Amino acid sequence: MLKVHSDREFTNVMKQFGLTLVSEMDRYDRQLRLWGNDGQEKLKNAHIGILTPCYPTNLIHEVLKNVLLLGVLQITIVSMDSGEGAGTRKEDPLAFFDEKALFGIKGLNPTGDGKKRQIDWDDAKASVDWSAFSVILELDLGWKQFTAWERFKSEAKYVNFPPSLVMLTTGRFSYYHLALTEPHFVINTRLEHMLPVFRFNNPWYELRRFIDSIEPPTLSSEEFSKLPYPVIIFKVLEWCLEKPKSSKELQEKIDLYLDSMKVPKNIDLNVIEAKRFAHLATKIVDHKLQGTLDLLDQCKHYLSIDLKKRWYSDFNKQMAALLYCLEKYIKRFGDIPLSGEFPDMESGSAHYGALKSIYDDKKLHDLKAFKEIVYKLLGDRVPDTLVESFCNNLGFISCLSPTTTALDSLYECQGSDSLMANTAPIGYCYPNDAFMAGLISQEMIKIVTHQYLPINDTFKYDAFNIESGAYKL
Amino acid sequence: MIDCTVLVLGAGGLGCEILKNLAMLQVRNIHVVDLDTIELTNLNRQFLFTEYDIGKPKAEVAAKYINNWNEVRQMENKGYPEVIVTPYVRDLTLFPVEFFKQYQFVISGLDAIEPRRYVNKVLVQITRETHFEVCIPFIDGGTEGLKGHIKTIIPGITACWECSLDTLPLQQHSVPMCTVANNPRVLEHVIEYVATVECPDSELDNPEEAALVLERCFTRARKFDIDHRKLNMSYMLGVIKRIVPSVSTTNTIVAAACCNEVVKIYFDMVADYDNITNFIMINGADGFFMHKFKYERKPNCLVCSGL
Ligand SMILES: [Zn+2]
Repeated sequence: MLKVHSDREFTNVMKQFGLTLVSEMDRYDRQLRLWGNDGQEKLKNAHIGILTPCYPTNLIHEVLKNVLLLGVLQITIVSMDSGEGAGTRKEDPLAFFDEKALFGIKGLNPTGDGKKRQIDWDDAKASVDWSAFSVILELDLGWKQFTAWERFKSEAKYVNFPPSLVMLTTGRFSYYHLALTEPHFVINTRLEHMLPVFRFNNPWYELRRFIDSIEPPTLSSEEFSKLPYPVIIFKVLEWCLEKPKSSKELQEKIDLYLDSMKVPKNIDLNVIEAKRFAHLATKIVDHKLQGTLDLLDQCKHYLSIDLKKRWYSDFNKQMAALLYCLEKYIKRFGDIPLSGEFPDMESGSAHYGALKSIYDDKKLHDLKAFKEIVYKLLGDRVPDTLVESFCNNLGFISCLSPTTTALDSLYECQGSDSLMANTAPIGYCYPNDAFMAGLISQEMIKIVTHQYLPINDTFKYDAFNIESGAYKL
Repeated sequence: MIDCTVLVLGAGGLGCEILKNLAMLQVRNIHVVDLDTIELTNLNRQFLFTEYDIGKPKAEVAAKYINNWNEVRQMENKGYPEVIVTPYVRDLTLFPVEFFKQYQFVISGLDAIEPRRYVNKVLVQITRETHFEVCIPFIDGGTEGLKGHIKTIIPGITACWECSLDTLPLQQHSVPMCTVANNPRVLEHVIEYVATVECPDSELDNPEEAALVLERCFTRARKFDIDHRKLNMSYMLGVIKRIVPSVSTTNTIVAAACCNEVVKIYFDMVADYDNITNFIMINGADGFFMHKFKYERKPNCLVCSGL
């Protein structure tokens, strides 16, 4: 067995021979495997705004630690402390991190020219460009500060505000809330266990021809055992006079078909797979098309090809435009473009390779057709790479609707909950701050990268029982 | 101040977080054991280290960081409780049973299975031999991508680590060797074959050998006409090393929950140990999901049965 003895050796090998030669790629290797270069690039270019009653606090230090480790370079901290001597407090002797440990060349993100800016609320009101932020984290704002911030936003109607990630941590219960000013699109939910789509309902010409080219009666039982299971299902569907209505019915038909073929039942793994995935062939509308139709219905009011329209995020604007194009595509072709990885399955190498390339060719063909619609409606104003990943991620695209409820009730909940006992003794709540800082930083990742599903929209954490719940405010 | 001695297993992603939390909880004596040295790919989450520390032992650098922090804090504010970290750059399974008796808590941030099995066995043995006179809680944290778990083990009372061995995620879905040898369909099959059959003795730390192995993967992929657009050195090594993705945020969350368990037990906030919910699963990929439940002891557990 081959051995790399340590990550360091691994790093050296990567450096000398891999395609990823930059040390930045190595530094972020373990998280690049979660959201890819595209996600990392978005984090690198993100500008995080933080609203806080004072700076520093343990909660902010924990958030900064995470945000900097992720590769974010631009951070602006707005202190809303209304008392005299507002702004920075003297370094807390109980703090774990100091400025040097967080920022600078020996700090947590030495990959670029990080810019940390710290500013008082009064100055911020006059000088901060709020539309430069990717997100704003509101960390433990008091009721007065919260209302001042809300008032400021409502008076500044001409400005678009970014998504707000709100957190309240004092006491036994902590709250997190996501407030969106516009729909938020997720380009890749990265949900696990997505079932493949084989188009059992409407095979195209090349697929049809490939299925026809295989003649099971002429195959030896060994050759039969090398057929990929979609081929078996196609053959059985063809053999049936009427389309089976349930997967159970199709499974029975598979047995009957094998009988007629004199193939022993249930012995070959490909036959077992054909039965296990029989349900993929009996639906009238396959799950990816259904999911996409549901998504289009959910955001029908946002779909627009008007790229001049004001959106806070260009990315969301482009996604809305692409979904509009997708609707046109479905109207024309009756289905979404074929997408996703062709899964591994029991099969001989040759049959597997041949079938995979038929699906791969179809994906390219559909992508081309989709691009034609996009160019016709949008010109080249949406980057090609986005069109491609949009097409390839169909089934993994999601949308969060903008927030309509006011946050007042969150503060009310917190007000009544903070009276409850059973918290750790004062001074021993640090892990709770760390927990919530980890959570809000993780939600920041999802919003900035447009990957994974964010909490929608409220989350409550009970630090005493380590219990949590998500709900809609 | 938490006046006790805590052993932390591992100074990696979870270990750094656990050490920092314990320091902030003012745990008087913290011992940390880790054999590994610091590498560049650690630095997206192991914040006690910088690029200048690459190649040095994790346990020592982590201990030095917190001891320095403690010193500065003492200078600025006399009278604060001291926090002292002692590092061990040693193989955990070589420590004798006696060694573990000095601790009031053991917290693990390891991903390897054997050291955790060893520590579990030792802690159960201590409880057994002392007739519950010494009963050291063992808290086990783990992460994989945006997922994680926290297990709280009170030897002799709750399920031990061995009791829950079958909850471990499968290390890999094993592909039958005949597929890998005769019917490869995807790159993983190709790489598996080259790594185990064609060049089982290759040392991947030798760049020339690694390049040769990669070349053989390309050759085999072409031979079986397998789609190799994704194949490169990073992909190949990822498959061979079975690299687990890891990010600071999930490590922060899991480590915080582990340390919260320490606080609860130390301050006697657990009402009923017999019914303690000893298992927490976390998944942050789809919203934020936390599942907490009581994992029962196995009556026929090889380690803790009869206790
Ligand atoms: Zn046991």
